[in-house]
Amino acid sequence: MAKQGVIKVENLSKRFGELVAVDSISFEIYEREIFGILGPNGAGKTTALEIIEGLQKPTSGKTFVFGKETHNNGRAIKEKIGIQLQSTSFFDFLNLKEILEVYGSFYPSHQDPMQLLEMVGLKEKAKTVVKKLSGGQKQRFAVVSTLINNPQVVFLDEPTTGLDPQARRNLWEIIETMRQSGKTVILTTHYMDEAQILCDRVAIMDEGKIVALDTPERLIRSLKYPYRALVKTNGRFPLSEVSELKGVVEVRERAEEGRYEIRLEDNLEGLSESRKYFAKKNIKIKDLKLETADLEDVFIHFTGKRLRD
Amino acid sequence: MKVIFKLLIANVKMTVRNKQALFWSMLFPLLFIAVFGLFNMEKGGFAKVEVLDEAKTQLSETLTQAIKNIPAFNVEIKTSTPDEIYQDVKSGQVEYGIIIPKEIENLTNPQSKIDQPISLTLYYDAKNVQNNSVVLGTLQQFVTQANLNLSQAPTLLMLNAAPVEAKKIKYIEFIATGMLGMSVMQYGIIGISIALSRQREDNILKKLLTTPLLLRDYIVAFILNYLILSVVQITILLSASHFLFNAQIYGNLFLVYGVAIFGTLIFLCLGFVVAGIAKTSQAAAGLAQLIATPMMFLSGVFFSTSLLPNVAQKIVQFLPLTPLLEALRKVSLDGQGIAAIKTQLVYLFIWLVVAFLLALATFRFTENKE
Repeated sequence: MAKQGVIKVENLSKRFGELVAVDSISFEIYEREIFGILGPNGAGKTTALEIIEGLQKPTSGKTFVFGKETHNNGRAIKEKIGIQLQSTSFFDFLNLKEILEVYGSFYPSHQDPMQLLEMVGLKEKAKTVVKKLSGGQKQRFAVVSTLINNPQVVFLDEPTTGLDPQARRNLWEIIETMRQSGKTVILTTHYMDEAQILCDRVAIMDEGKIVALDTPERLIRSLKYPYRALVKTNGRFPLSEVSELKGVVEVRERAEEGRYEIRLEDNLEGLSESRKYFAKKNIKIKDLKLETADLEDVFIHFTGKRLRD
Repeated sequence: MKVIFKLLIANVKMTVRNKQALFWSMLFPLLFIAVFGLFNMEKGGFAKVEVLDEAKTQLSETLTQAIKNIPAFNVEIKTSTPDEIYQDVKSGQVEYGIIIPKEIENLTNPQSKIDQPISLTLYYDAKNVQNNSVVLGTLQQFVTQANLNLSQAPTLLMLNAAPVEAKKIKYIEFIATGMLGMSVMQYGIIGISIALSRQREDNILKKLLTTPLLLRDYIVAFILNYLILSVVQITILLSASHFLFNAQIYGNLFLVYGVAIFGTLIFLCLGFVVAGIAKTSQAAAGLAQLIATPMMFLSGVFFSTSLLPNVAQKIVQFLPLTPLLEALRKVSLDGQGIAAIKTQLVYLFIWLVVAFLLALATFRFTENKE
């Protein structure tokens, strides 16, 4: 069965004066997939998302949702999508149930607010105002509020930013549930683990451009050097000697004393060569861990910089 | 329609639950009225008078009573000495001291011969120019009248003072209508601009843009909620000043409401303008105060604009609050009808159009950089 395109972006650009926020990007998002836009702050993720949603106008290029041009069909499209903004407060002085009821009244039909609250574990908080929720609860509420119209497509702009690990995992489960109920999810994030765990496909964005787009696995496999060894030694050694070994690509010293990161070619020959070298130099390996590369490495590969900087 | 209704209910709920804002919009003007009501400018006339009756005869008591009956006097009968009366005036404790001398009994005593006029002594503060002319005039007239009566001279000429049922507007009534205009203005410019800019700041308005809701509907519900509150506010103010301080409304009550709501609409639009211009809710609060406070003092909330210099009068009549207060007072205090406030209504209408167009031009729903 051919994949059904739900969202299509064609040569989209957005300028704010001199600043090019989005630079001629094109991609397509298919039905029932979780599509991630991964990139550092200021990469243009939110701007791109808001143009697709119809909240901002493009400088040039076109966006389509359900095959309809976003900016000529705003209301019709908005009835079938759900949007979580990067930061929203909700009405003060209304409780969660009341807020969902108000939002529900904007649509021809809507979900039961209590059912939605139950889905994200906020049923007991139905009569609470948003101000009194914890950060994680607030974010769960913001995400579930996008489901009030039972949308086919859900846009989540950095849904887990600023949350603790427990709360993030909690939200991942909720997003996973959305996919299971047949929704298409587009999310932006600057957490590579999030993109890797959640997303079917990831677009890596930097300085307004999409530098890579594929499934996380294929992006990682496309790297020339998909492994790295993390070693802890009892003594120092000249980095250049190890990086010249066969099968070794690069050696970096980590911040902690005596810990090194050795990037290896995929035949892993570099690992045995390194061990031989350490034995010869009488350096003891106190700890060794072999890791596959992740999206962070992909990002570094494509942009030449680290995501977290 | 259903959406507007739902939003209106939500808005009313939010307003009623926001106790702090409710306090400022409803109780603050009331406090003003209470303060002015308790001052009670009219109580007991405007001049404190001490009377020392040294004679204690029937005549002197009639005289004292007559002085007491002068409406502008707040009279206290003393039993001290003339010197103490003098000191009371000198120290500013009272404004006037009247001493009725012992010799006055000679007037009614047929045996005694009066070779020179008996003098009533009046101590007064020479600096108190404005009141003195009234008090001296009143006493002078009183003495003349007494002379004529005592000498039993026939009254040849008399003043026929025909009272024309001149209604005396109490200051509390003046202030109550001033407060009405002021609270309508403040709640509009300050309340609306802060509420809207905060909703924009918190992306609440942007979140609404993510739904198929027509923003027109949101604004309509927002304004309806505001108008309902405005009517409640007007009612509280009018009833408080009437029932607590006996302030009267001499004109048509519905016309008073109508004019106040007309004003409400103008200040509501100005609230949108302020929210549109200000980048943050803090800036909105500052800008709103900057507009509202001078208007409060210049447009005649506390005193009539006729006390301002001529040039200033010409300028302040172009502020929206000035014709609003004028119209309110013409109806409420002078009991006039709609025909008498035509000029003010025209000014207000022009303001409404201008404010509405400005609101359309300046108001933004999101903080987008464009």
